[in-house]
Amino acid sequence: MEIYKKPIGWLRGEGDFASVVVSTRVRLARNLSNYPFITSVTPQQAKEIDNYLVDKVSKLQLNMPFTVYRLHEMDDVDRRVLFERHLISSEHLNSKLNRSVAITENERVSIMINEEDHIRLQSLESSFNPKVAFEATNCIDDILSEVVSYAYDSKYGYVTCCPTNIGTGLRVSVMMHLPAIVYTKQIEKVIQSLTRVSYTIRGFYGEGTSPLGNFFQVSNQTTLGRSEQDIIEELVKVIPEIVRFETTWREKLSKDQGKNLENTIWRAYGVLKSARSITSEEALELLSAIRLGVNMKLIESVPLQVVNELFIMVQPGHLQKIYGQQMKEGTRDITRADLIREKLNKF
Amino acid sequence: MMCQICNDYPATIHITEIINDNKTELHICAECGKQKGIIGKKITFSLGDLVSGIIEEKTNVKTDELQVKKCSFCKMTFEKMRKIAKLGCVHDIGVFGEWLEPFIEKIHGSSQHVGKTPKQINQEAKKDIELAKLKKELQEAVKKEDYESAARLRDKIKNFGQNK
Repeated sequence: MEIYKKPIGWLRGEGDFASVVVSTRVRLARNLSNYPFITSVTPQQAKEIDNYLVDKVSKLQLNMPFTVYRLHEMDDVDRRVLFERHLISSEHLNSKLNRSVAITENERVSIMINEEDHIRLQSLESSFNPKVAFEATNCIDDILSEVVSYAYDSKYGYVTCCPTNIGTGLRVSVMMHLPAIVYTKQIEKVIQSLTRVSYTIRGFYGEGTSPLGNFFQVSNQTTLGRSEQDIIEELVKVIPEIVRFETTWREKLSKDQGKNLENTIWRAYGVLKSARSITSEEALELLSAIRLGVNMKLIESVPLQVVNELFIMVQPGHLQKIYGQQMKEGTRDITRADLIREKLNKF
Repeated sequence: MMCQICNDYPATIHITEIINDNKTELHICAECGKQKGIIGKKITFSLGDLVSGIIEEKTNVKTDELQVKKCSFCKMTFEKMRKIAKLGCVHDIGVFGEWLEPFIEKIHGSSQHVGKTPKQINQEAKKDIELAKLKKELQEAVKKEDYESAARLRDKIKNFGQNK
């Protein structure tokens, strides 16, 4: 599998609010009406669903064809690469059932088969772009709904395995880099405010994951009783407020504690450019500081895309693919440091 | 603070239990936590446990009647659904509707979908929607004592079942 070599489009660091918003992800949850959901499915039925949907998805008439990966036939490292690139979820990665993912060439759209729901359509866009991301999934959803029979109820809309997704099945997740809010210890305040207005805030890899490198995923909590457009419109009002808060604190930090901040950022840069061994956690923490430095125009030589991509490249799956071998944790720390040095010392 | 059980190691697990305003605190070390079964096992926190208590108290849902229900399609039982808080298939909506409605309402603050519909709703789903509509009309006709319409609707529903 050669996908690990490709640049990641949604990390290119261009678009609205790119200094704070890394990417926008939209997903639609769908199920088949004529099969039990994943909670009640037998391994044989899961196999049938997987084969059936792979066949249907492969035959869709689209401008951009899908490449299908049968996850149950792949090795752990390859599966992990797809997870690290956010093309499959942690639940999909760890499932024991027959399952697949169909991915477009540019990795903007992926269709997970047999995740928590039979079908999860997802689209990833660089920076803040919920409308474009929604349209990408919406159009595939329309085409797919002509060839498969969705579990749909006139009252509850699209019926999903978990009642938290029922209705539109739509979740919009915005990945935000909030170092200034974290440094000034205001993240709790932001989390509380967001929860109050029915938003969820999660870690780097979504549900059940911890925040890494000051990245947070903000997403809508409710999916029923509001149209897809209303959900998106509301997000268009909420996200710029968080961006404004983060930007104001970045400016304030720079004004009040300029030397301290510069020191933290340049020290991080120094360590990453010369370390001979580094853990994943430390790498992400230091990269987070560098990302802030690039966005605050302190570090001007390194492009934002290079820093963004390093967050993915330093993960175990990518490291093992790049160096072409299975590695234990200690060896990974050495190659991780090698890779970061190589990438950063070009600038 | 040392472990309240062995008194040999520092307490790293702190448990506070509040029952009817009576607060009990327990501070123990990891080893004693393991021995007492407090850690080691993955502590699961289920949405079902969280929400079902609230809704059953508020809505007087007759859980006794639901206990015996089972979905003939996916074999989901009420007990399992309550525990995992997940659906087993599209038909569970009908089978456990009485319990699911307040549950869904609690999560979303609404129980009516207003978003998009599939381009092609399958024939079975179309029939189900049609049948539900006829049954509602029959109920209303009976209520109005319009027995002529009621008889017509009853026959339609009967034929509907046969065609299905």
